[in-house]
Formats: sequence, C-alpha cells, structure tokens
Amino acid sequence: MTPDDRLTARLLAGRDQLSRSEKDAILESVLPAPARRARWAWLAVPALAAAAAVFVIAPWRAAPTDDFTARGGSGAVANLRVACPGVCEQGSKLVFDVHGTTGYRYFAAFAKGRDGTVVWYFPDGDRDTGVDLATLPATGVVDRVVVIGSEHARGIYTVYGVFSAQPLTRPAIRAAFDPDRLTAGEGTKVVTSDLVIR
Amino acid sequence: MTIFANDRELLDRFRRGDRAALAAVFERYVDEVATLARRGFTIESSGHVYVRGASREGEFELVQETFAKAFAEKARLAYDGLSPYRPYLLRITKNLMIDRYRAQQKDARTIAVDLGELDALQPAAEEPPDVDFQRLAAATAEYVATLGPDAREVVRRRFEEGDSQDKVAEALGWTRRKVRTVERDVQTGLRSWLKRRGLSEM
Repeated sequence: MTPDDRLTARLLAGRDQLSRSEKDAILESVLPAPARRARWAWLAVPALAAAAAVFVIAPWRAAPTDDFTARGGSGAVANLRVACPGVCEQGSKLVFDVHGTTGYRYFAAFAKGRDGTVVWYFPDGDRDTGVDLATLPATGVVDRVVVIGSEHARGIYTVYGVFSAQPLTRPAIRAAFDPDRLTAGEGTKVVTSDLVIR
Repeated sequence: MTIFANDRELLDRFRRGDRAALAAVFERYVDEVATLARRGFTIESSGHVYVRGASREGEFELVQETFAKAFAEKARLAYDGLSPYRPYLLRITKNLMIDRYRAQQKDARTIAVDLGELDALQPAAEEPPDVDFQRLAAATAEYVATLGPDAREVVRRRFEEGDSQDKVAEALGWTRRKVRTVERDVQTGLRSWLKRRGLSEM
C-alpha cells in the first residue's frame, strides 16, 4: 500500500485516521502466511497447479450451490454446503459450511473435475490431516476459504467432503476412497456437492 | 472486558496463530492502538515529557509494528490469557513510541516509567485536522459528488463506514472482485481529480 493509497483512502473516508484499507493492509502483513494447497493427480492424472487458501476475516451469508445431508447408521450426521458469495469464478472464495454435522470429528475435502483432475482443499498436504470440527466457530463454517484460482478451469466439479471420526491424511483418503459407496473407510462418510466454475 | 474472557476457544486459536482469531483480536483493538499512535501521550513523572503522536506514515507503521510484535508466536504463547489484553497491547505501542522519542532527542532525558504508570498513560487530546488535509477533503467531496450511484455507494460503505470488501460485495450483490475494481477506479479517479486542480502531485 503506497502513501498515495493511504491518503486517498483517508480523503474518501473524510477523516485523517487509519482507514479500512490501511487496516486491511496492516492485518494482512501481520497474519501468518496462508497455507498453499497443492493439486495432485487423481489416478495418474498429472498435477498442474496449486490453490491458495486464506482465512476468512468477516463472515458472510451466501446462496449455497448445494446442500446435502448424509445420515449414518449410528445417528451421525454429515452436512456440507459449498458456496461462493455469488457466482463461482476465478477470484471468488469458496466457503465450506458443515453446520449441523454431528458424530464426526474431522473434515477433508477435494474436488474432482469432469476431466479427472483433482483439487485438494483440506488437508493442506500429504502429511497433514483435515479440519478438526471441534475447533470450528459456532457458525459451523470452516474458517478457511479457498480462493478459486487458475487450477479451477471453467466447468463442473464434484466436491467430496470426507467426514471421519479419526484424522485422515490425503494418502489414507486416496487409498480407501470409494466414490460409488461414498466412503473413505470405516467410520467415514463422504458427502458430495456439485460446483460450477464460470 | 478482555476479548478472551470466557472464550477459551478463541484463546486457543489465537495461541495457535489461527488467522481468523488473530483478525478478531486485531479488529477489537486496532482503533485504540491507532488513536494512541496518532495522538501521543504525556509522561508526567519524567518532567512532563510529551511523546508526540505520529504522522500519517508513522501511525501506520506503529500500528503495524505493535500487532507484528503482539502476534509473534513467542508473544502469543507468552500471553497468559488472564491479564487484560488491551493494556498489554497498548504497552507495546507506548514502548515503541518512547523508543522513537528517545532516538529523536539529541539530549535525551532519562525516561523512567514503571509498568503501572505506563498502563495509566492516556492518549493526548485529538489535534485539529490538518489544513492541507481539509482542503483536499473538500475537493474530494466535490469529486465524490460527480460519481455514479454505485461508486458513491462503495465510497460510503467501504471508506466512510469501513466495511470489509466481502461485506460490501454481499450488500450490493456483487463479487468481491467487482468491489475491489470499483474501489481502485475511485481512488485512481480521485488522484487525477486532485492533480488537475493542482492540489496534489499524487
């Protein structure tokens, strides 16, 4: 942010005090760097890019692209909404709302395009595990948002949300994932949602 | 009441360096830190030392440095979660300002401030608006009046009310990218407007 940017922001605010855009710039400079999300080949499809992720500062309400609920035999419920604040396009944020999920502790998610390419959202890397749902805010919205970048070519994707009682790594999910039975092994539930990138 | 009172989850996330938790803490206290940085304060025990408020650039740097120190991993983990966070944060700003004051004084007086006095220091009174800024602000108001309704709405929400880009996008039914684009165009237009009137070299 240049001194000119700071001055114009203050002039437009009508007061010579720290402006919203200055606060945004400061905040971004003092926060830990957001994790970068790698793209990997799904069944030998080569990886092409990486997706960047940022944490949400301000919550928003957005029209969901889809809303699915899966009920397990033990009474566990897995809910997943995937939404953008408007049209899902490059530069938009993708929000994962798992409000109402009970009986599962961890959440992982990836999308698979019609051409077979896969984009991972959570966990961050092969050695990491997914989102611990016990740490979610009361809103039930995962406090990490994926920014749709060039790794998301225009088209239709299926987003797979993997709910589990145990923390799972990407390799563990890959090894046990069954798209027909919508499971990633014992004690898991997979919920899908369509995602249209325009 | 400190932001962490009765919110163990927030404290845990803060200590872990969770970006959303850090952002919540920042939003809660940033205005008070900025006010202190802008206004300065007087230390009576050291012979009425007036630690002047910072310039526009200095204010930005002080706020940035304060939160950079407070959000460093060592500082996050060292915070006990029980002490009020606001005085702790403002103490960082005050110490930064005192250090700068000392560096600027060729015949630096000794400034000895104990913790209790440091916490009790209050921001000085707000100084009257800068005359140059007032002149530019008046021209800016004329410029804003020439804008279309969408751009004026972005100015109102984003600059005057200080809403986030996400919030503005949601309110207007736009993408964040569109808000960002309109915001940038408004600022670029303002620079040209002021330059054409010989009011700024921006």
